[in-house]
Amino acid sequence: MKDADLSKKQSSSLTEARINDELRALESTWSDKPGIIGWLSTTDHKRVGFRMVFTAFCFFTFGGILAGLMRLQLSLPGNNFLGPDMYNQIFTTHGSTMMFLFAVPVMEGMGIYFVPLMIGTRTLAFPRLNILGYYTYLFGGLLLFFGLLLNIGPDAGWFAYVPLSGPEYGIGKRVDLWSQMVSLTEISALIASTNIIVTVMKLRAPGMSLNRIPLFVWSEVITAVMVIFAMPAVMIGSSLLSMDRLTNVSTHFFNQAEGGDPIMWQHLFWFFGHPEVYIIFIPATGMVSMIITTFSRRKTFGYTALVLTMVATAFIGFGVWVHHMFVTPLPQLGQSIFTASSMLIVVPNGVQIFCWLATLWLGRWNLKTPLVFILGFFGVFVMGGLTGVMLASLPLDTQLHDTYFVVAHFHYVLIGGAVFPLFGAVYYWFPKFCGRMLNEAAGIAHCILFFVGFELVFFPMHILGLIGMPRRVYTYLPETGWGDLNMLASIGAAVMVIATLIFFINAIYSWFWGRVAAADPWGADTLEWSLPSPIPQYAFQYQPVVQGRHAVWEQTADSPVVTGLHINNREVVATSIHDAVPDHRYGVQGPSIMPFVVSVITGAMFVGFMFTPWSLPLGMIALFFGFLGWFWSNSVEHRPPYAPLEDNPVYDDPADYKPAEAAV
Amino acid sequence: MTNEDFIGRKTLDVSELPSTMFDDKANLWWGNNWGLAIETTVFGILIALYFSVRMSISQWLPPRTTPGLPVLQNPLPDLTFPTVVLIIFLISLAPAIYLDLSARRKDIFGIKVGLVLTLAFNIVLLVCRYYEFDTLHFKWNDNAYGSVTWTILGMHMIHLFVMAAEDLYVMLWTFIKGVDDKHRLDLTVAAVYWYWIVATWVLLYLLVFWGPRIL
Repeated sequence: MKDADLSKKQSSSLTEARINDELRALESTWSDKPGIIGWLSTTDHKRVGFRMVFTAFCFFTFGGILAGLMRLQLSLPGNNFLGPDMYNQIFTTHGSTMMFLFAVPVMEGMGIYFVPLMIGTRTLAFPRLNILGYYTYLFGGLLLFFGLLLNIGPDAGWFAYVPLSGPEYGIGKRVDLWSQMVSLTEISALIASTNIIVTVMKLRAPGMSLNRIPLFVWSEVITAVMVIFAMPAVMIGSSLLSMDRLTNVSTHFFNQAEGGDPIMWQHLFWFFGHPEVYIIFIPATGMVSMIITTFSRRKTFGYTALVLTMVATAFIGFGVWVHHMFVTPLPQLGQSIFTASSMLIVVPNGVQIFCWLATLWLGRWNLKTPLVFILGFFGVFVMGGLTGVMLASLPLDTQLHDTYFVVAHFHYVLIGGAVFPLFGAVYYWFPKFCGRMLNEAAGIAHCILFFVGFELVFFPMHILGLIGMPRRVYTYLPETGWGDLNMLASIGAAVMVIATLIFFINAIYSWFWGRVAAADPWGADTLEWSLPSPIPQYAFQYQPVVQGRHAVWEQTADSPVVTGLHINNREVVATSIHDAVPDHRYGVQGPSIMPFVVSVITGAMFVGFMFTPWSLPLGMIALFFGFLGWFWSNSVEHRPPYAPLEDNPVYDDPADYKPAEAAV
Repeated sequence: MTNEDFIGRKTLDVSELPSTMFDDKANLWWGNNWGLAIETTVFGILIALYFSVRMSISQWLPPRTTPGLPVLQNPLPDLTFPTVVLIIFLISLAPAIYLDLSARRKDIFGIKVGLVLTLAFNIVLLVCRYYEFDTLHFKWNDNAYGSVTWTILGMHMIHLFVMAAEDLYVMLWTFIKGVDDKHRLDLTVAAVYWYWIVATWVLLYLLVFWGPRIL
């Protein structure tokens, strides 16, 4: 079938012959190239998203092993299983891994995978940038563990405070490994965010107006906007730190003797660092909303309120960072303002929790593993939120700063607020990854053991903090009386390890031998469930026309579908920002190896910058050619056959285009 | 849904729709603008950093006591040369606007002239920037003031390099392959990038060259 034939206006009836023809064309158009080059150059958002999630879980495992080592060391007073230097490297790498290499990328990965599917399209807006983002993340992560394995891991804590991390005290290349890892992973996060925002703005299926966007998609967009305004702070911070540290550059940003300011580092870090918590938490709330709606078998209670609370959390999240710095010399008025804003954030979160409870209250429960994890989330997260309110209070924070109380608090918030929903989401969406279901009994066992283990590890830490145990000490004396609670926490860690092992075994077993899943095994409402499990590379045979907020529930036998897209070129329909009225056909690039090449150059440039500033100009020259190749291959090989200039009408305004009645 | 589900369904035929849109209807335009939002945040943070340095230095400006150079008690940055450069920046908006309009009008001659002129201005401004560092009278490693001003100029210079590369790519394509609909969009987006570069420079110029005199 020729392109010209396909792009002509077609008769509205879809015949069997035409459907079969178009399906065959779609399959070949959207498939990856074969071989290792094809694997490296894929632009399929599902493959990239899955790789991101898989890689993040690998880092989660490594980070978890490090946590286990720390618990082993602390289980007894005066233990010498780990020395002080190794302990420093391990807690730094654990924190950095869980924040930069697990929590943020795993949420992005889920977004990259599911956002296009939920809005009824076949691709992200910039598919090649997407794979570039994955590789920069991967290289950043490998860099960090490369350091740890060579016993030169960063050792100044996950927030790398100067002067400890500065040129004076941060010896060798340890902190440089950390700062370049941060830069690389933040580039990746920024790329993913831009991509997700533009995709959701412009590529939603016709009819999916703003008030019909699924809550998970809202959560990913709001998170992405947060990333765009939060991540530059830490990227700048870590770049300035490496410039301060590099011997033949030796800037003085954080050097008080020459007019710099060490406290400025803390501002730069926490201006990113606190929004980071919401960058991790907001996508998780999106997951909670999806799971609660599906497993309550009713429409979400308070959709608008839920969207607005996410927006409010994002806004307030930018105004609370100084509560991490309450023990630095700050003006008193500033301290009061930040105490107030930190307490303010419980308002939107409280509204959110009540909307979910109302949905559950009014629904008919289908009590499967994903929902059980969400119940666990309520138990853990609400408590973390309450200790958060306590720590927002300046006098209490001054007392508890840098104690195990803080450690307990943020693990309740992060594991409770993000990891519980994430596990629920993995059980929920597993059928879409591989076409099989995870085992239910193992899932329930995983959830209960994880919950019990979690409480055993982290509840005692509240008490340890209150009785004075500081963070980041590699050991303690028997006379302190901290031994029993630490032993309890270490036993809890073992329970968490068992729970996580059950999950991994379940995942590996079910991937190959699990129960085969139907397209929509849970009776869910979003568009990814209208696709077969696992999802074909072209995703939607015909892009849907969305009829309501709960797209699948409100689809009828005669709901229209989109036709008239090129099927021999990768093309999707682009729609208007508010009402999702089709405004043009958007051709996207096919696979290319150039994103991989560019990411290798970028990685080399950042690694080189640990040793010489010349890596910057050299890297930029190499990048010039890398991007030239990217641009050119994009334009020559895979470019959809746009009409020559002379034949194409100037068409700036879609006002004269009237969509079929069906779309309205 | 299976093949059977689609047979005889109502359809929304989009084949008549164009394959390119401009401005806020184009994905690339939004992608570019969100990218610029990131970079604007970067400059916002650098500006905040400048003020933080101002706050931690009690004698403003700090005297220059670099070994091997004459001591300067009040080493204000030069004003004449940077102001001339600023004027060149402002004039350079003209070819960028011309390029933007030519791309929309499908005026191939205008596109080619616009591209050559914007690239020429870009290169001139890169050379000027090289000499602009000297007008600061400090090196990056003299003190925090030197560090922050060099970084501001340097970050902005990186954008000049990126813009030059972008210009060169589209220029090569235009002169070798001709102009097509997709690359008309690229041209308008490149013009937006240039507007942004000039707009940020106006702010940064005021900060770096007037800040020491006023603050």
